[in-house]
Amino acid sequence: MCFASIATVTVSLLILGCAWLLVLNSQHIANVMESELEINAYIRKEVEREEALNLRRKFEALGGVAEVTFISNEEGLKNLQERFEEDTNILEALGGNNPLPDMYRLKAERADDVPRIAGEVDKIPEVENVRYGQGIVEKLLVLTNWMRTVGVVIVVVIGLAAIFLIATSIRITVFARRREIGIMKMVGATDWYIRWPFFLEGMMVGIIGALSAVLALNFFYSKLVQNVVMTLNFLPILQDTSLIFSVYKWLLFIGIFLGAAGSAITLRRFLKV
Amino acid sequence: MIQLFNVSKTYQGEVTVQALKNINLHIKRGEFVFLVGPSGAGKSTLTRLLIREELPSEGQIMVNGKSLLRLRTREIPYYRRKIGFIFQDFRLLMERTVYENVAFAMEAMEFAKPEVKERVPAVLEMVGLSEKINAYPHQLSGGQQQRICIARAIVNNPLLIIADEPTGNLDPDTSWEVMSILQAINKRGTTVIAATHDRDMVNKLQKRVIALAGGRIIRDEERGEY
Repeated sequence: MCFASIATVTVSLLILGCAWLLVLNSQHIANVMESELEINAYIRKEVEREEALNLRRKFEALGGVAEVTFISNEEGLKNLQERFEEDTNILEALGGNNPLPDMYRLKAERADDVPRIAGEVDKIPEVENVRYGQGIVEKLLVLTNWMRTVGVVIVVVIGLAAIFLIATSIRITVFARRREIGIMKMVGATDWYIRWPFFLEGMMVGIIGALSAVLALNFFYSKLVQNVVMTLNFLPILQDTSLIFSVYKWLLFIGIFLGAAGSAITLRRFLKV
Repeated sequence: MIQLFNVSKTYQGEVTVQALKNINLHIKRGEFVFLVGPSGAGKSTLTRLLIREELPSEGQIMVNGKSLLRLRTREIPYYRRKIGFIFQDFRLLMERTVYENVAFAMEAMEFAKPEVKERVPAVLEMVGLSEKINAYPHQLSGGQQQRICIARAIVNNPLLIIADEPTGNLDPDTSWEVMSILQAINKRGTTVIAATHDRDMVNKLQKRVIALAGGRIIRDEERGEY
């Protein structure tokens, strides 16, 4: 009878839970990426090696810089070579010319310092070009916000459907027990004495729905974490159990709220004195 | 105990019906009153006003010195606990036993469990249903069912019993049984108001009779007849 309403609560909370974990994860990934942000400063070709090595002091003097690494063009080529098949010789393919510039790789102490440092690096005359991954992080954060909005909209819609279904199923029980309710009113039962069992029923629907959603979500997420850790190790998936458990806790609260709201609507309309 | 001052009740709808017109009435504590009159005379409207299911369109109703018009919504249940109701159609729960039907009402009035356990058998004995305590209503005769209803109505020691055609569904002999139980309750000091169509009963019992017709009181006699 109330299986449909339990199922709706489960589905809506499952979607909410998925969206929530997705948002948390992409925020987490954005944070991780942000903290690993590097600034690549490419040095002009015409600058001599000696001069280029002396630039280190200038970079270190910028403030907020945690680490400065010099990568010569030979090293750069070697790194590039390693990424390709061993039997292809890049240098040969490029006609014996190394096209890569010397470069410095800087790490900032704080992620939000990166744009400032990058700007100052750009002002150094010997530096031809500055690159840093800020764009990617920004895109990821935009995506996160977007997912959050879409998730909230979907959840509100399905949540309303859940409230409506609970209200309907409570109305059916109220109707089935109208005789008892009539007698209770006649002998002088208070409104809350009459309403309480129905209210409880609504909350039970919410709790059962929420519990099944949490159990399903926990099962799938732990499987997902297992798989990601084993196969996509570079992806920093969220494993902070206290944070995930607080998501589950909120899902339970929202489930109880859905049930209580659904029955409250029916009881207000159909159980007047 | 019950006083009505210029009470009128009008039902607004597609057709406006004036169910009660300018009723003035005084019923003293411990009285036994028959309410008679043809269908549509206003008997049911009067009972609905007395149990505060509806409010009068005009006039004032005092019960026990308290105005029903000024009763707050949350006070209504407590007011109703002082009244026992008896209906023509019994209004029993068919899937519950005799005991459970009476206990259900006491629980709804928020009596403590031990009190329920003590009081229900006593009341059932009073109406002569001690042997049927675990029977279901459908296993009983109409008169016995009505006695469950009476037990339920008096379990709370109400000041007032309102009976809407209590013998309407019963044969003459059974009607007498039921009526004598009501009389016994009345003798213990409870005010009884019984709306009825039962001419013989009214004539024989020689109680106060209030006759309604077209929403007005047309007759009010001590020791009256139908």
